[in-house]
Amino acid sequence: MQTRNNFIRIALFAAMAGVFISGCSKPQSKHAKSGKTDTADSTAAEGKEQELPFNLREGKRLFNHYCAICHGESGDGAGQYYGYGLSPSPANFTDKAFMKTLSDERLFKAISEGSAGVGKSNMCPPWGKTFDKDEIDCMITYIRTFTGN
Amino acid sequence: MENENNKKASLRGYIFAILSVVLLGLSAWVIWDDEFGLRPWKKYQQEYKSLKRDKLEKEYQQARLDFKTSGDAQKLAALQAQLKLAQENFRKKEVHDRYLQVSATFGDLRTKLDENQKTMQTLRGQYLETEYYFTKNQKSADKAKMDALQKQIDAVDKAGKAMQEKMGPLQQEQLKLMGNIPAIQASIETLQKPLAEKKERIANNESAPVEIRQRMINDANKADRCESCHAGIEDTRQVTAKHPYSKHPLSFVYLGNHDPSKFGCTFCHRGQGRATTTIEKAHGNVHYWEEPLLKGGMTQTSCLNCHGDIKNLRGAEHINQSTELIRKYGCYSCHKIPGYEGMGDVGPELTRVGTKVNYSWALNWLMDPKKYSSNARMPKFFFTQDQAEAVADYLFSMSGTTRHDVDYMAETPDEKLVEQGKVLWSQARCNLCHITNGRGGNHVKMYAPELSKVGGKVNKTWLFNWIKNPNEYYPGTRMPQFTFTDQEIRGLVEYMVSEFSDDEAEMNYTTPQTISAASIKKGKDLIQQYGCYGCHKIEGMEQVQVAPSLRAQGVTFLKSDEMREKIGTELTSIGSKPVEMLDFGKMKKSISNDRMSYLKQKLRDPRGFRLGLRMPNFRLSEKEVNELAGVLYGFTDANVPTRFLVPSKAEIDKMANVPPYQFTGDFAKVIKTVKCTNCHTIKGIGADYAPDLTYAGSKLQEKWVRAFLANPDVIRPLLQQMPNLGLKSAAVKTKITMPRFNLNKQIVQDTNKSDVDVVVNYLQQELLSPDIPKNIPGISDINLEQQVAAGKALYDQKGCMVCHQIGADGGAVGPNLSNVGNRLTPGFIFVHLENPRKFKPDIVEPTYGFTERQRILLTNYLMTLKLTNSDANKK
Repeated sequence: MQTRNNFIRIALFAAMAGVFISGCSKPQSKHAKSGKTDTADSTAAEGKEQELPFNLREGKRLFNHYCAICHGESGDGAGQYYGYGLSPSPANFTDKAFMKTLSDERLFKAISEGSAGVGKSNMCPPWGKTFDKDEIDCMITYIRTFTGN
Repeated sequence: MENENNKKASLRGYIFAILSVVLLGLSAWVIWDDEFGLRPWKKYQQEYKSLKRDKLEKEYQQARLDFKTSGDAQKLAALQAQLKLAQENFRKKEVHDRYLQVSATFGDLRTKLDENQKTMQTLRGQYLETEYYFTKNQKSADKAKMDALQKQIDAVDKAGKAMQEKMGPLQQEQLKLMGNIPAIQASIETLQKPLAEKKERIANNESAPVEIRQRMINDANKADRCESCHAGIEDTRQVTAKHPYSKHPLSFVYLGNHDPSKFGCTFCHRGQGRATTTIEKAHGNVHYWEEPLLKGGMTQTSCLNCHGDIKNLRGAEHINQSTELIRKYGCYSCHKIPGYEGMGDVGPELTRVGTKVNYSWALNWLMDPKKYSSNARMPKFFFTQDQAEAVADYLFSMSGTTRHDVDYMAETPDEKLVEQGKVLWSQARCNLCHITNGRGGNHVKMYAPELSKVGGKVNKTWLFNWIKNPNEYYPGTRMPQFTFTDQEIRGLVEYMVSEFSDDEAEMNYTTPQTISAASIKKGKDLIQQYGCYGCHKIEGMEQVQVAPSLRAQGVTFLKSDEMREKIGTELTSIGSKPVEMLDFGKMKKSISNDRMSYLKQKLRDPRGFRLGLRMPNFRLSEKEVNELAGVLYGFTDANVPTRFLVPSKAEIDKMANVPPYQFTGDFAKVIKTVKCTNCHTIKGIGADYAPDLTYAGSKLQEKWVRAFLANPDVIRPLLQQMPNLGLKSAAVKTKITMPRFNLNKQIVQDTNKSDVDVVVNYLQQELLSPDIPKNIPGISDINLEQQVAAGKALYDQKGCMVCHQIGADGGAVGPNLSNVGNRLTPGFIFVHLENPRKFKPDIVEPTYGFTERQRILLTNYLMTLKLTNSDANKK
């Protein structure tokens, strides 16, 4: 009699344990979405552009609209306007050695006070009253990418 | 017996012991997990605090260093010495005693004055009470009481004033006795202030509690706890760029206009605001949450939820650009889209297309539009050869023609006409809108057809009539009417057909072939099935647009607009359509089941979900798919509180019963033929390719306008926006000028006025701006000549010639200023120099922040820049 009771007890215990253990959920690997675009288009480079951080996207937009006409869309100082023969030529942001000598503060000063504000020609106007500090920071972040940062 | 029981007991004992230990461990784990494991935000906030501490400490140390090196430390020491001296002086017996005496007297007077004021108040109260009774009862006793009280008040007032007079000099003596102690103390405080502030910031950071931070928006039932992990998001100065501690990008736009305490985070970013246990949950990337976090540029779709006008909205540039795709591909033709009602047709009218094109061309076009023109907007319907023939047969039969082709390759063109046509082609600047052989088409948003191979497509008769009067063939066309002479048009046609010929065009029907009735019927059915009438007007098909459900019941002829339905699903709130209602069909397992993925997949491959779908494939690039999906996602019936909504100007006008602006009178006729609004915006109508003419009456001088319209000249040599059509080699030489519309020669229908007169009249009367003054202020201390010289010096010093050209010198980014004294009004220049962005928000010209005086000098200088007639001709 006692062994049979024991047997019932153990069986009951095992059943309950089984119920509880099965209730634990696995980590949500099956249903979780990564939020990214799905595999079919992950390879497309253009689709990736939207994944860039905001500062780079905004910096690119601002640079292309205001600066690229002289500095070129690839930042090499050979913008469309360069074809008119600017002298001195606009700064080349792809020159690694040159860019290394310029700190972020120096770039900020050059943009907001113009090239005249950092002791160069007056060809690049002062943009400080046109842009907010955040916008100039975005542009600096973008300019740094020309040297692969 | 006992041994057995003992054995069992000890076994049970072991099991019990083990289980107890396990339970203890579990309990400890539960406590730890509840306090830390499930609260990862604590870790993030602490990490942020320590990063901020490091940064603030560094700044503080740097500030201390600067303080020493800049000489401020010496100044501070000097001031402190001065203070000590002054204080010692103050402590001298005579000074100190006198000070105490004066302070005591002052204090006494102060007390007495207070009592005096109190007495005054009591008396005043009594007076008012008596006055009331007197007014009510008109008893003379009350009057007498009033007078008595008045006398008392006057006496007390006099005493009070006397006391105040005494107090004045006493105060002054106090200040004199204290000497310059207060001044020195103030200076010391100013010097120490920056350092003290930095120290205070460090202390504030240390004492900041680590707790859940949430923004509650009660009426929307939102509790956004995002800032519990993104602790630095509202910083004005960034602590670090590392996620999640960075500050909100462009915070002056996004947070400045949308105070987080009023808006929260999830209205714009979506995600699950209340979750704090894991990143996946908080970002809503879980199975049951239908609004996952919007990433990157997608976030701007939320702007569409509240803002009606996003055209010049700072911070919504990306989504604004994306909405252009709806105009480009004409989604509104087949789908009902909010805000895009009444946009007209995307494609040309097809009623008489049989008189226009070659049959073989039509077949090839129907089967694959992009083969003829790589930037064709028409999608691919995947017709088989038979289906394409049937559709073409129906369309051609409407003009009562046969299947025919006309081949001009075999003919020799008239060289003289071709030469004339070539000259006219470049004068009229057709390439502004039309692409030919890889050139032109800078005015992208016109979506003008590519003409590189038009010689193999159309017949000359049709082309002649089209150029002569486009509105006759296609009343809604954007192509303007150029009013060339017949001879000129003949030359143009000859040039186009010979120059833009298509060697590889198929010409299978040079001998006409009759069309069978069966084919016509088949074609008509296909057109009704695929809804070509959505984008193209086809006579006889207007009534076909009956709701499919009604058509199934045999209803074929409803005239009421309300009964008509567009062939595609309504997209009014596609962005909030429940995911269960989206038909994933056979792709249910292969793409993730959320709304954004569905939209993207649908745009990539519209018929991929199951058989029998009708939407054609637009061959969008991946970028376009992402952009368009973002726009569609923004069409929601999002439950934003009404106070968030910013209706567009059109909606506000509608609510106020203000009719939308319409051109009136003769000017309307001019607009209808010349179609100025193809390039210019006038009062909000039109395109932004050429300058905004809304205030042209105040901005431009009349005489110049007349001369310009008669003979449009070069004003802006370079584009200010880089074209994205790969035209870099040619662009340097390209100049953007207005086409010659021959406005002088053209007489407005039914009037005797020339176009130029009509336009100038309209400019002067309607297109004015109250913000542009007629006269600018003057400067009285120097004469005009000196002002002009000063203006010129300023012009040179500020470097304006880098972008503007005067004579032979200067740059080509902005307009040429050689003749600006004849072109612009001084009022406009004056206002423009203060804020170039005022009239054109995306202008490239920087804001210099000139003073008024500088602006007057510059304006006076610029107004002297005039070209005489002979100079103008030479240019």
